[in-house]
Amino acid sequence: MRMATALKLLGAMAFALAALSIVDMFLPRPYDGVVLESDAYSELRVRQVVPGTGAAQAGIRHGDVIVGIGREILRSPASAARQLNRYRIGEIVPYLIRDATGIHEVEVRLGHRQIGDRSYLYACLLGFSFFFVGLFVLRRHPAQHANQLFFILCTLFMLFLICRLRPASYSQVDTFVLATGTMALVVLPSAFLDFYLSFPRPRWRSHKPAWLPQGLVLAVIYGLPPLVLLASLASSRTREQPPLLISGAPAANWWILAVYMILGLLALGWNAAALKGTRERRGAWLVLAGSLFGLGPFLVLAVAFPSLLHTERFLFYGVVPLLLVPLTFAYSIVRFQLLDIQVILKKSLLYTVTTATLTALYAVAIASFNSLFGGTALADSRWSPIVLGLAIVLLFDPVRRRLQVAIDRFFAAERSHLQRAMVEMGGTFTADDDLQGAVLRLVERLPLLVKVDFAALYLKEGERLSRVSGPSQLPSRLDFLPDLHRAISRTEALPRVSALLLDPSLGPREELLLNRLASGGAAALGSLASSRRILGLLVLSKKSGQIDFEPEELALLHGLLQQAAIGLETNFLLEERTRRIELDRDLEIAASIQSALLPKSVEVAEGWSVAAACRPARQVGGDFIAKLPTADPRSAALAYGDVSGKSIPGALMMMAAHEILHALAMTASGPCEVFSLANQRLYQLRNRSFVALGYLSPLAGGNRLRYLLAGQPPPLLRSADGIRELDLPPHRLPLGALLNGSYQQMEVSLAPGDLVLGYSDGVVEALSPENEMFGSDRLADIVSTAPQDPANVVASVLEGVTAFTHGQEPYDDLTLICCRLNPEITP
Amino acid sequence: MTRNKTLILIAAVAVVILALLAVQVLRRQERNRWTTSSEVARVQFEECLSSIMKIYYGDAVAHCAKAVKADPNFAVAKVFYALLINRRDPTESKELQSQVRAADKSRLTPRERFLIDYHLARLAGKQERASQILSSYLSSHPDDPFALTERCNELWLGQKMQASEKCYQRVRRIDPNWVEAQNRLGYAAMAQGRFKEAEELFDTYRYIAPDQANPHDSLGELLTLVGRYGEAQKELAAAISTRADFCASYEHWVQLDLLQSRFDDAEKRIAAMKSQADCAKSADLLTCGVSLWRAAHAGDWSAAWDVAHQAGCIDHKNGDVFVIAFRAALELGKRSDAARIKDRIRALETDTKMPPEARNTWAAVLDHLDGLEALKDGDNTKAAKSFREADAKLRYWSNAGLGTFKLFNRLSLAEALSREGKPEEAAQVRREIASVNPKIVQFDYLIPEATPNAR
Repeated sequence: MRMATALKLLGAMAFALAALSIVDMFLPRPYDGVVLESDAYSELRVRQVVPGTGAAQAGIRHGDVIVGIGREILRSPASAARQLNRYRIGEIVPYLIRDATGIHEVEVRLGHRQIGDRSYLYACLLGFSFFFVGLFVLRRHPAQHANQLFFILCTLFMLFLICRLRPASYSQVDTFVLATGTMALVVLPSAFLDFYLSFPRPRWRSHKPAWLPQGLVLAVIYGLPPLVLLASLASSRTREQPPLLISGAPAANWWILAVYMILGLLALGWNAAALKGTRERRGAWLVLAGSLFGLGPFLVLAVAFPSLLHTERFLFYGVVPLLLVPLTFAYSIVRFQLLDIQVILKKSLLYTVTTATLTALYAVAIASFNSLFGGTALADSRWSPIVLGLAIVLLFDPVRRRLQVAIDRFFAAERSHLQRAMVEMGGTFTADDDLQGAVLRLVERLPLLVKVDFAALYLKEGERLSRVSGPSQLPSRLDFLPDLHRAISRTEALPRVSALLLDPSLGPREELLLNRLASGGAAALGSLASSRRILGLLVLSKKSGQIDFEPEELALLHGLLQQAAIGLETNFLLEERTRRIELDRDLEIAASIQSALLPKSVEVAEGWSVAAACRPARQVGGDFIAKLPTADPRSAALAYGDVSGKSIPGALMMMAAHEILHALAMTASGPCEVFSLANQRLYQLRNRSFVALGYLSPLAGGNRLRYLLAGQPPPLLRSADGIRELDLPPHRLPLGALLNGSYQQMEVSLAPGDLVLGYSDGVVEALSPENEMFGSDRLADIVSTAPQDPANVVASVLEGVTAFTHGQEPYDDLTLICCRLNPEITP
Repeated sequence: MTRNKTLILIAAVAVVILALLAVQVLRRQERNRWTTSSEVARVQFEECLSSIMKIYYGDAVAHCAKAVKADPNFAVAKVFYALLINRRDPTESKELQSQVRAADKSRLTPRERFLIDYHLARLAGKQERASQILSSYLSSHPDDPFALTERCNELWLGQKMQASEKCYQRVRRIDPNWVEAQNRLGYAAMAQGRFKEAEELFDTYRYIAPDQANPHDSLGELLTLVGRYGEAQKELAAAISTRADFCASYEHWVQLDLLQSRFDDAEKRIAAMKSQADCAKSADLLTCGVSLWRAAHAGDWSAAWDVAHQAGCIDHKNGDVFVIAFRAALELGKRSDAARIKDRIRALETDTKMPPEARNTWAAVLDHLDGLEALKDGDNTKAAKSFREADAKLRYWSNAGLGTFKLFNRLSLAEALSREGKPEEAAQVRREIASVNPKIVQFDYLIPEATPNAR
């Protein structure tokens, strides 16, 4: 980056110098009308005299030498400028002129300064175009060697065009500016050759002999022109003869320039022939053609002719073809992705076209105005051109905006494609049901949109990422690493793989994965993630051309990816919603089935009042109540179960348990056998579900109540003595927990009016909003104070739980069975 | 604004500020090249130097006096002042020299130290020491026009024409507005017969300093030599109009009058010259010369002889006087007097105190007189040989006089060759004379006829 900063500094100085040169040309100052030879050695030889000026009136002609001005013998144009600036416009100044007949003193009346002709202004425009193209190329990719060279080349061209082709006169900055232009011309060949050796690929580096250091080659390339210049000057000093100069530089340096240019063009041809990509090769050939057709006429018409034949008649025609060089570069870069400078090209072209359009408008307006009002006071008014000029200035921005659209469309095609893709994707999301398909199609289009070799998409499946699109050189499956996705999502643009490898927050697993992707050609990654979840990973290769991704491009891709993630998330949500609706419908059916399974009557034995309730926590529950036959045909038993697992799995288990109990109760000898056989059957299902089961069997015509417990909490007994839990059997494992369960039937005798409450653990484990459990104490309190009727006992308990949970959906199903020995029964 | 942009902006501003500071420092150095605390003294001293270069010695004395008065510690101004008044007031000059010797020179610039040491050595008559100081300073400051001009002057006065010409050319390259170099180079070109080049140099000199008398005078001399008498008169008139006390221009104008045989005009010019106090001494010699030329032009050799001896003209040790007096002696048959004249000239030629250039000129005069004598005797071959020897020694200009003497000598040579029977060679010599000054051929009255008893 230091190099880039240094280059920018150099560029700023060069630009300031060029601007100084132009500003100086426009500053009003005393002027005699003489245009000097720029390649005269230590004398002020007249190249041209502007007609009608003081010099012309004094008889100064082409070829004369100005020896002195204002009583001072001159040593340089700068000393002439100093002298002239001592006078005012309109003053008469003595000149000492040497012509073919000898030396004469003449008097010159000083007039206003004349600016350079149109060809010079065109050269300035071209020079600045070169500079800004180079500057923006450098700004886009400051670290790239080719870009740095391109910037140097453009800066040198600017200095040469603006400083060296400047019509020499006596301005204060003439010597400095012309010397800078000459130095630019001395350095230009080296930069030219260096650039063309590196453009578009520095092929020579791999083909040079091993013993030849690269630095030495570059040192020779850059060292030779200054050495030739010094040798030429030293030789002329030794011989006491001025060196042969062409346009201010020794002729030897022009030979160097010619040789370097030929070598550079050969190198470009050689590089172009070796390029594998057809697009790149075509681009390089185009640049070669542009360089040949641009530089050839320029050297002949704009440099050699004025220098050797002292004619500037063809200067304009020499400078015009030079425009081919940046234009072919620009076209190749945009069209064939050789270098990414479309932004500056867009801007420079935009302002050039705008200026040209407005200039044309201005010319047409002036011409129309003159034809309409010619000869009138209005036309003669000095305000009329100003007013017209102001009108043109006001038109500038509207015209620019109009032109920008068209130019953007051409130059920023990739960005435009991406933006269009975003719009299209938005449309697809609203019109297309297959959103995942739309995302896949987008990923498949990305290589065309952003000019990458490939794009791949991985979607998350469980704890893995599976490749659903992309080349086989990439792994088909990847580990899902959340840290990596977090690192990818941290920026507002797609991160480069190289940057991620340097991310300190990533560990060795992430590094391994990144290296696997990089070895497959991945250059940038994007995470497909919604606010709810991570959906997948986008993998992009490097770009097809020489350059890297633009930051704006990566930001746009990031946006596009976010849009795709929203699409995918929407897709998933839709699928979930569909599944949920289906599930709800199934649950509704299941609930109705469950409901149908509940005994229609809980009358189980004469002399006993029974009430029961089963309230599922969700639509379908895992709790159930079954009315089972017993060995005494006058009595029936009530079993209340609680299946581990909720929803559909719980419901299915409940159904199984329910039916098993029914079936076994028909044939088994007693409840213990029913429990044992049911345990074995449920164990065989091997789905890790258990069934906690309670069994209450009041005996008809008596006061005894038999009970069995398999995982259910002990029932409560309310008697005149108060509330207590019934005795627990020695074993009460839930059904299905172990293959050989052991269950024991218990029996309790009740006094008339006593009641027994069996319940599932959902009752005592109900949670308050503060996460406090309902607990057995609260249950006992409610039962102790509840009315006598079993139905009221059940209702009171349910009310108590509802009040405790503040009406929130219960955590678990609630099942209650209350059996009361009627008071009229005599034990 | 990004950090890079800020750095670039700061750097650009810094470069501009540094450039402005550098310009200021250079300008300050330019102003401070003389060590004095007084601006008046500095200005006066520079005026003094300018006056010396213009050969306005009176003005130079006045300016240097003012400089010393404005700053009594201005050492280099004191040295120049001492140099200027050394002949007129040696006591004060010596006092000034001793003051400068005692002054602290540690704060002076190298150039000032050189100028002081060099001129003090010269004033003390230590020419070799001065030359050593000059060489030493030039070895470290080869492009200092002050020192270089002194070296050029040394070469010039030492008759090393080519070396001095190269030296002045170097001064002119260093500072093309150093008029002393323009003037000397003009004379060097003129002396070697490169009249066009000389005219360009004098024109340039006149262009630089049209308000000075000297460039007009130099140009007047050149135009006189090449026979453009009208233009020469204008320049000489311009010189005198610029400085009425510019004695050399009166002398050159009188010479111009004599070449046109306008003796009355010459006398008027001498009268005007006499009104300038500083020119009175030269006026006497010119009065003598005009009388001699008038007599010679009239062919009245007795009168010429009388003028030469009665008015003490012969004691002026002037070439023209010697030649006309010698011619008169030949015509009057006073061969022993003629021989005495030659002896006097021979004494001058062998006088080692005389500058080499002057001795060389006297040798040429002697050869010329030998030629005249041989011509009178009818020994045309010997005459031609003597005239050729004189011609080889003479230049078209020297400190001893204008190149018209060389042309007269060549005219005599042509006559000798003609009498010797070599008309083609004689015609060639006449063509050469005419190419320099076509009007000089009318001066054949200065050439003696062979006597009947010649061999």
